[in-house]
Amino acid sequence: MARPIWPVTSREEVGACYDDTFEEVFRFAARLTGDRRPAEDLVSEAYAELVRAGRSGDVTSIGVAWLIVTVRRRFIDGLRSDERARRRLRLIQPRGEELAAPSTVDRSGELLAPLSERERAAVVLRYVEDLPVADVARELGISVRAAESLLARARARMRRSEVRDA
Amino acid sequence: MREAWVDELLADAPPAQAEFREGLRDRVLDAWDDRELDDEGDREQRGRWVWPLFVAAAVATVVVAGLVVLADRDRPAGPSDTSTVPSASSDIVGVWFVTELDGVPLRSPLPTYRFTDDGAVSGFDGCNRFATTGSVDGGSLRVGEVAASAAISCVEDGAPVPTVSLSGAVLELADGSDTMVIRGEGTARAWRADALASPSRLEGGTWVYGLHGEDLRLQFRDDLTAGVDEADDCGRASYTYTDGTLQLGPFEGDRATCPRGSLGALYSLDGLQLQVVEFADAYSESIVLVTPTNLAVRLFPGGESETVEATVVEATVEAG
Repeated sequence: MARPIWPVTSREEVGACYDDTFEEVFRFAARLTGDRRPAEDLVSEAYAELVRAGRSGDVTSIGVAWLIVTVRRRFIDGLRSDERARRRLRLIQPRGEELAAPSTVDRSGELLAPLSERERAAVVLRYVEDLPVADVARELGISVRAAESLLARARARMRRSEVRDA
Repeated sequence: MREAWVDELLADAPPAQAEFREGLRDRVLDAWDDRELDDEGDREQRGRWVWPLFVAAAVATVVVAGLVVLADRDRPAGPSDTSTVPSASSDIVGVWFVTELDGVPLRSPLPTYRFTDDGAVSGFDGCNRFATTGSVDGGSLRVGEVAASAAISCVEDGAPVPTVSLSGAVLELADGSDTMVIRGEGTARAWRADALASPSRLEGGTWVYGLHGEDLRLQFRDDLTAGVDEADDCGRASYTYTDGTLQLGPFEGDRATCPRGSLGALYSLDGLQLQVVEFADAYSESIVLVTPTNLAVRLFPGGESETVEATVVEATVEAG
């Protein structure tokens, strides 16, 4: 079944697009990040990008997939930047001291809770977005084999967590 | 068909708070309205959150117009008193790997560039090896014209192999960061790479690298033997690994069933002393073997065994 397309060439059209797509986009971002606050940031960036693209005439109509892909790319870019920052911090940090734990405020999604950010990203891309493993690999910048390993570890971790919680 | 837990996952996603939803809607529409303000020439009333979009677009344009790579910061530079490269360019000295070209991750062997403090530039552009010299130009390093050392075909599986040429390019470090902007005088292409460190992980792991569309599995065992492919079908060898240097080979075994191409590339490592470096970007999860001739073979952690998870993926990576 074809998914709806929204024209985005006027204020009214963008408003209607926002009203119809927001919930799905936010839920996707929340599932991706596992945290409400970064999800809000990602969604804000996606709609800001929509305004930029619509104003410039780069796009005249979109489906929700356009926003989803924008959220996903921003999220993955953020993961890469965060990882580099953590590594730099690790270099200057005295041994034995741990970096601050990520925020647990509004933590949601028990199923994905035991996963690392990267595993979470792989699982969401593969099973929520239904991307082929090759595309997951390309999005995350890893080999197909590494993506398969990542997904296998994620599934195993979720299974272990489920068993523990049972 | 989706598994049941995926539906559960989607159904369980938390909704947005109404306050955020309404606030963002207002900001989106305000931002849209700013076009009309722009059209009227009233730039003072530009929305506060629209400016970052233009700034980001400008930055993106600059980045795309350049070539961005990250350097091996852990490689010690050679003597600097005789250097022909000024201090502003001294951080360029080292081995650089191009991991992504125009947004597409590259597979091994990666284009590799080595800059030495005497101005020599050599490497592997993804197809051919080359050697040339660099010259200082206002704090930047200008790479000389590159003549390929071997006229080998640059086609793989019927498609052109991505190549990266620095011939005539100007290299500059960007803001003293890990990135280097390369201003090409021809077409500008976007590169991506990451800082490299000496690896803390190699032994006990199974690694995979792609070659001509085939994946080879290279296992480094705790008993200091290495095998290629399942059950060492493509050969076995002893190895030593000390202070970032890997001595691999000589290989023994029947290579008749090896994947296509393995005889050329893998066994070109046979008996060599290889420098082993690791990409600091955790998403690549890879290490790279650098041959004395600048050929870089990139290895990815492979397999789904407990060994990989325990000793490779979750190992703490120490900077070299």
